[in-house]
Amino acid sequence: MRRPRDPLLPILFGLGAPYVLLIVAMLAANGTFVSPAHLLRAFETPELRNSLLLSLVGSTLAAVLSIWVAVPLGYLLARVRWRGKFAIELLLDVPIVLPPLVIGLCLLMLFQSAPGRWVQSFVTVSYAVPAVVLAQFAIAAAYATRAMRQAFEQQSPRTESVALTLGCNRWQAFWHVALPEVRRGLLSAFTLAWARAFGEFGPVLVFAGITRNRTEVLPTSIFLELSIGNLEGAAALSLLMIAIAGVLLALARRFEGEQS
Amino acid sequence: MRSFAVGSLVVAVAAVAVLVSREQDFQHRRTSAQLVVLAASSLRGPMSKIADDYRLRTGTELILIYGASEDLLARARLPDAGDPPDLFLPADESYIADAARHGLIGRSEPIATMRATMLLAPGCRVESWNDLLRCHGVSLANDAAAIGRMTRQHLQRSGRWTAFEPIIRGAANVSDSANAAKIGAVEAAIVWEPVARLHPTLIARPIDELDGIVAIVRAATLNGSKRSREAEEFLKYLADADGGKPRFREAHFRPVTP
Repeated sequence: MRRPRDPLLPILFGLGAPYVLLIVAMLAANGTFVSPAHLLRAFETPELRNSLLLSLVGSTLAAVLSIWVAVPLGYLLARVRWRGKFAIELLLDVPIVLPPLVIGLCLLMLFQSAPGRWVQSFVTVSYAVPAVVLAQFAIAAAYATRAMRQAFEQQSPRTESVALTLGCNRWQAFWHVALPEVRRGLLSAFTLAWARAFGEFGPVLVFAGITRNRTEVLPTSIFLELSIGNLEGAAALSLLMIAIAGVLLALARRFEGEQS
Repeated sequence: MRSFAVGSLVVAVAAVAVLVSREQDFQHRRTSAQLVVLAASSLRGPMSKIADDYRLRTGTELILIYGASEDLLARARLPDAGDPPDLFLPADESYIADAARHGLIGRSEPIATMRATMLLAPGCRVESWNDLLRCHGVSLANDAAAIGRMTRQHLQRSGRWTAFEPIIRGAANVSDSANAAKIGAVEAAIVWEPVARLHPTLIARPIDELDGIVAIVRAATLNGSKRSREAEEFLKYLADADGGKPRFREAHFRPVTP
């Protein structure tokens, strides 16, 4: 007798498919506006090459900085009980909840305050390259922290306890046992932070402005193309961003797979 | 884990090195004579050509900072530890008036004017105001943009606003309005003439009911400038019939005649 077909998978595919189709349809619609000539033109202009370089380097730096703060914060939130933890958890969600433009505005105001001006007497931050990286970092770090916290929560604390009973101190147990166990989570947090930083627009626009050849990143280049009615150019840059992000994220996934 | 920590440190140091060298290159390429100009992003077409002309003619480099006029005004109000901007060139002179109220403005000159027009989506047949009112959606920028505010005020004065308001589909700025018409998301858009001309495949149709909606592009020197003499020279060049005005005319602005 034939077993009745399990309806679960078709139902799950049916429910998930519209979202996947929506993304495919959006990319296809974007593609209809772009010709190879538009894509080539994107590489020909020095301003856009500069913007691409700053996007890639800035988001990589922001992602690395994010990981440096996300690992300790994720561990503290997942493993340690301490006074004020709830308030810190709420604070760390602020960059995720607030509109990105507001983050940019807050950063701009911070660097116009007395402490901010003191910092700027040594290094110019507002409307300069450090503003780009800082704006990207401010948002990306919140996502990386959330990812690292989940990674530590999913990992059993038993191995770390065993390490402690075998004579490791707390630092050694963290460094040699806990961290290697969340290696995959670390990579996920990095790629998430990188992708978030790469696509950041609002805070960069407000805090770093758009100075050609200096603080222009790919999302602000798209904004500039739209502002002069060059929809085709904007669509070409969007496709370029999608392609770059797609390749880098696929590489990271592959690396992640090999690690696991 | 040590390799990850060392690797991330190496990547961070390399990234900082690239950014520092890029910044040094940017600073190095600047000539000793340079001016920082805050310009509305809708003026990018003529302004980038004017910057090239001016560098060839005088050797002075223009650092053009683009953005929405209201954002540029906010920037002009904030003291900058790096390069204080020298000139302000918003899309409409109302922003110059706002800046003057904050004591930011030195000298100012009218450069060009823009008139409102109707931009039709592909395949849309609108010949008159009454046709426009039969549309399901007409894009108009919100009040924060000069075109939105001036259109509303003009139509309120002429008693046409109440009939027009229900079909408005609000946009963030005039460029977004034009883009909405271009992709057919609305049947028409009310935009500035030079913005309409950026879309040669679409029909721009001036209608009598929009006559009188005119924005004046005015440039002004900023009081915070550390190069006020050079800023004034560039302002003169912008307003000169042989200087900036021809570039504005090419971009379908109407230069202001003295």
